[in-house]
Amino acid sequence: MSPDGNPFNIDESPELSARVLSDISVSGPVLAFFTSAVVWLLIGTVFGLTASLKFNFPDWLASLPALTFGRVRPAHLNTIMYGWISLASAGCSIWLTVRLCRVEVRWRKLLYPSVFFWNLGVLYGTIAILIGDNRGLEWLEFPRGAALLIAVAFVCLSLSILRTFHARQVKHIYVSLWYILASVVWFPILYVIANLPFYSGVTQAAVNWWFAHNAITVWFTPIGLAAAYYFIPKVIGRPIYSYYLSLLGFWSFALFYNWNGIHHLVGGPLPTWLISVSIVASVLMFIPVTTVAINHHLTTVGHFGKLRYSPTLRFVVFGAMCYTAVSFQGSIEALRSFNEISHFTHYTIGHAHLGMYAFATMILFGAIYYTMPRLVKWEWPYPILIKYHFWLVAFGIALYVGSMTVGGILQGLYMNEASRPFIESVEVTKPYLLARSGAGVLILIGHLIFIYLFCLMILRRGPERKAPPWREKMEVVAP
Amino acid sequence: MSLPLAGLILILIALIGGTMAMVAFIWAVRTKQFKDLNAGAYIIFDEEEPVGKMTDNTFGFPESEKSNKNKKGRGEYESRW
Amino acid sequence: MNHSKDSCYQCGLPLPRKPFLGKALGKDASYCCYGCLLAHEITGEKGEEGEAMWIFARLGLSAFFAMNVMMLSYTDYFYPFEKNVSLVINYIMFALATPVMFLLGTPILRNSIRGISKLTLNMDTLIVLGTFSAYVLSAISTFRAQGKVYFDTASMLLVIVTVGRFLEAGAKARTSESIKELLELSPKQATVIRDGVEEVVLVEFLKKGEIIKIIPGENFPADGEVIEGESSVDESMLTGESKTVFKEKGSMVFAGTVNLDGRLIFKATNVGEEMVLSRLCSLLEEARKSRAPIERFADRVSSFFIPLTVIASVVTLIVWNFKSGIDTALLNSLSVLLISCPCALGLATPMAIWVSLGRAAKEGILIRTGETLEKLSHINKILFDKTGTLTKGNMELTSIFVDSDSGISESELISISASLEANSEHPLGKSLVEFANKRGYVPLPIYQFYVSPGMGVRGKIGELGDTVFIGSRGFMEKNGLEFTKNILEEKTKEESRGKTVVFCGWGKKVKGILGFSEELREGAGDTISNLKDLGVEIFIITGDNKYASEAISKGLGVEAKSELLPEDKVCVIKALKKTKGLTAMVGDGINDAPALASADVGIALGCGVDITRESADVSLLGNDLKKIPWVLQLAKKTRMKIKENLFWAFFYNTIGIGFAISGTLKPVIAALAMILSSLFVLGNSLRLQKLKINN
Repeated sequence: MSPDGNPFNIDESPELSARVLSDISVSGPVLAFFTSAVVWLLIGTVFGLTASLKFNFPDWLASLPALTFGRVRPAHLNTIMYGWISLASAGCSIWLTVRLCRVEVRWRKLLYPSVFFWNLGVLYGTIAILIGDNRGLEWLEFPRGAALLIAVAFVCLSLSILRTFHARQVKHIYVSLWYILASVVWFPILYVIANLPFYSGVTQAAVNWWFAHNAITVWFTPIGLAAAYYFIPKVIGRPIYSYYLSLLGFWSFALFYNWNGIHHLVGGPLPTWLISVSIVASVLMFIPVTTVAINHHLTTVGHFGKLRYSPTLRFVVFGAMCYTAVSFQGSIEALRSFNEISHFTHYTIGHAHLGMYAFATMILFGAIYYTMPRLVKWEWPYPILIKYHFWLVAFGIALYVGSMTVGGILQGLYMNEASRPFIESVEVTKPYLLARSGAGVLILIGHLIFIYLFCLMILRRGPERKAPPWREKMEVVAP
Repeated sequence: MSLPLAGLILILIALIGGTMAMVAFIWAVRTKQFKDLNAGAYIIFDEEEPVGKMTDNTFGFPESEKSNKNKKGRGEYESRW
Repeated sequence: MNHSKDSCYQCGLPLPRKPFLGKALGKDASYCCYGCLLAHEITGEKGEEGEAMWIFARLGLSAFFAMNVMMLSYTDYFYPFEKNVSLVINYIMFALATPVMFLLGTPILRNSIRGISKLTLNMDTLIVLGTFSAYVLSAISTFRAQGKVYFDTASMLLVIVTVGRFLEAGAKARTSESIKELLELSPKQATVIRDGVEEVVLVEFLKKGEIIKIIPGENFPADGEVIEGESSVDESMLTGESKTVFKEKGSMVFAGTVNLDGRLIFKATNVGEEMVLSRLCSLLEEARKSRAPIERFADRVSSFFIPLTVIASVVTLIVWNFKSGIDTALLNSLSVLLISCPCALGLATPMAIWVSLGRAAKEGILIRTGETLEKLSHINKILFDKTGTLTKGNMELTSIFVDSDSGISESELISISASLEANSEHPLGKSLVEFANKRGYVPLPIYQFYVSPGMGVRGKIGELGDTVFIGSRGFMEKNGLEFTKNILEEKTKEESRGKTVVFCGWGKKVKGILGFSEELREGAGDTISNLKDLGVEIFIITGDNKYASEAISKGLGVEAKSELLPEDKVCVIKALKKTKGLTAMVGDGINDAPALASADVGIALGCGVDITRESADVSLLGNDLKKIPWVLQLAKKTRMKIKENLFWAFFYNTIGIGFAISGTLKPVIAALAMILSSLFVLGNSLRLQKLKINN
């Protein structure tokens, strides 16, 4: 409060200005990223449900080539990965970067082209998949032209983030920032290497899965963890339980991840030693994962009541717990003995969705719920709808992962029995596939609610709700 | 590309990656990133959003349970969940 | 950190004949070795912090390499490689392990060579034997394309041992340039009178024989002899005396002390380095340099264990040579050396110490190093400074005597004297006022107030017509106040009890006596008795006079030596150090700093001045004396823990050696033993957190 009683004297609190100014400087680009991400979320979810229903009703829409399973499924994967998750992660990473560097964004002019090329690339690639022009490599289905567009877009993002980092006004680099920096430096390199035209045969397979895994560990996971490390303490209002441990986690993470990719090819025609090393590395990953788990859990413990206040906290804590779960699951899955059963079954799909949905997507939801009011200066209009969103998708993904896990194990066990005819392994999965479609419906409804709320925010419609006092000040700084 | 060549490139990338990680680590030690670790955890807070203060109450949860129990009808944006 | 020309800029050790040259802060600097040069380049730090950072950097890099070696090794354990793959992998592991040996192994190697040149075998020798033998053996196997490799053991061992060292280094509190602070007691400027004109000069330019003027509140800039004026002076930080000292023409004054209430002109007799203050500094410096490190417990055990190990190894070599030829013999004998050095040994001491230091810190006790903790477990003599340590350092009004013939009551006496002293700067006056406030007195209005420095105060109060006098005997007599028989009797009684006596009177008669004594700290009595129960001999050493000292020591039941100068205190400690067991000193004032530095363990109370805290091995935040017996017990329990850790580590070892000698040692068992014993040591050490320590 200033001497003359005016509560909105900005000069008395320079830090408010810095944080507010940095939020304002990125609001345009971040909103662009988030909006396009949400569009792809809708498209990707529809594709996903369609693909799932094809298991239950194989003849449905069979006459349309574009909507056959072989095209819809990769369309789902790519629109979700490179569309929803990537674009939302991009927006999230810029926002976190300016917050943690306490500056306004630099090279802002690169960010809009980034959004544009990214969307263009994903659009081009998706259409290509739907018309049948699919490279046939999982996670690398897009034609090289689309990949190039995405690579260019990513580089623009990286440059902006790095330049902003260079202009930072903080001495200490927070752990989230480390993850973001590692990610934006490494992922473009990996993406380019993966898309080079030099590979064939077994080599190509090895590179394919090395990349696919790296996309997770170098792009999606770091941003997810960065978000969790920021939002959990920020929302609760207490610092990370053991900051030292978090840094230990980051650096040990940097050590092991690279060897992991090959574990997707266990049992495949690769040199045994290579596969063995990747298995061991995958198991050793539990060291950094444990440090992350300890931190997130112990920071939250005693404050679970606060989940009643904040949607962000709900989504992010849910996501963080699932990170631990999916990592441990992955370590075990890599073991040859287990892999014998689970490889080539729905179990893998369940694992993928535990990671990409229950971890990455949920955290991104949490991030969006936190950042949007600060970007559009409007409060989320119908909190009860947020609650519906949360519970629908939470139940949905639990049902999804549960059904696919059990179904997958059964499928694998049946397949390994030489005496059983193959068809039995298919038959046994049918109820689980039906459950999965049910889960897909729940998730779709949840997403529709989310998209509705998001639109209301963008347009600043719906009943006006009171913002906390310090957010009101934002109006005064930049009306 | 043959497998041994691909393997070689993979190892090269691993080496480059490892070197970059090492350089980054030394840089971090030099710029005293590992000093005063407690302070580092506090960098996400500031004067307006200090430690001990929640920064998100989108659900508009009431401050005290008591006031919630006493209300006959629920407030416009309150819910049991 | 001492930046003299003869010591290394980074670590402070003496420079070799051809030092390494580099730059520090833009100026040329010399280093004792390339390691220190590199350390400074990388960390830009010097001293203990730089050490810790440098170890940390090396540790991080080595961990990177070592963990990759581990990964490859574990793969081989669970999914054994084919022969031709194995050959390549071995070369890769060799390439990864070599940097670890350089980064982490060379300092340990240096230390052990230093030890051997002094004919002592320490922990480092044991570690070197184990790791380098593993590395060399593995390198040979790699290049010969046959035989087992133990790169993982060698590198992990070094990493874990260095982690232990890092924990210990990190546990050290930051030291500062404390000697400089001591000199800062002396003011920067002084008012001199040259040719009748007053001038302000910098203290550096003071000359012997100069005339210096000092006003109330200033610190003396030099030692000297008073030629004009009278004043009370606070010399407590220098001499430890609780009373203020009265200075008049002919009295000696000392630099750094505080002039209280009068104006003085004195002639400087000692300036600069000759001042008592400066001599204190050099005493302190000397005492620090002369401290020898004790032989650590783990080192003692190692010196016994290593020859045994070497013998076992040689025996294995000979026996197996006759049994199966030189190849197997080499392998087995080196395996013996290898397995005899598990990680647990490296962790046994640091882990326990780290946990203990943490627990002590929670109690508000800052212990500087692990070595200090080990020393504390051997303490059987403790010397206490009196003023400010056992006592609160201020005077307390403890007795009021009113002459029965005077016709006034106790509360009247208090009321009148406290009202007069309400504005007094004098410590006794303040103490009196505090006492009166506690009694809830109402101050009477004062009409006049004069101070006679070093003698007393006088003034007119309220409705009392006469001038009231409060002060020393001399003051009363000078102003013509009569001492009655009662008063004189009481005075003698009080003085024999070691109290400081102040008289109060008006209307030509002394009406009452106020007796002040030193306030004992709470818990002082309990602390002394606890320490006695622990079997510790207790002494009090003080610069204060005999009576004041006896008043305290008799009350506590402890022997005391009084009227000691700082140099004398150091002598007492040196003499006690010659007897069996270790000696600790507890103090607070600057005058205690040399004594604290010369004792085996110096303990500083929180109330003490910064320099004392910085030069002490143990700092008690706050003033709870009862923490001292507590920390002694903690030290003893920690030593027990270390012994337990070492015992079990060796137990696992011995089993391993058994396997090695019999030729059945598999790398898996070695690895397992390493992990098991490390985990045990960790778990056992963590129990120190919850261990009950009675008080």
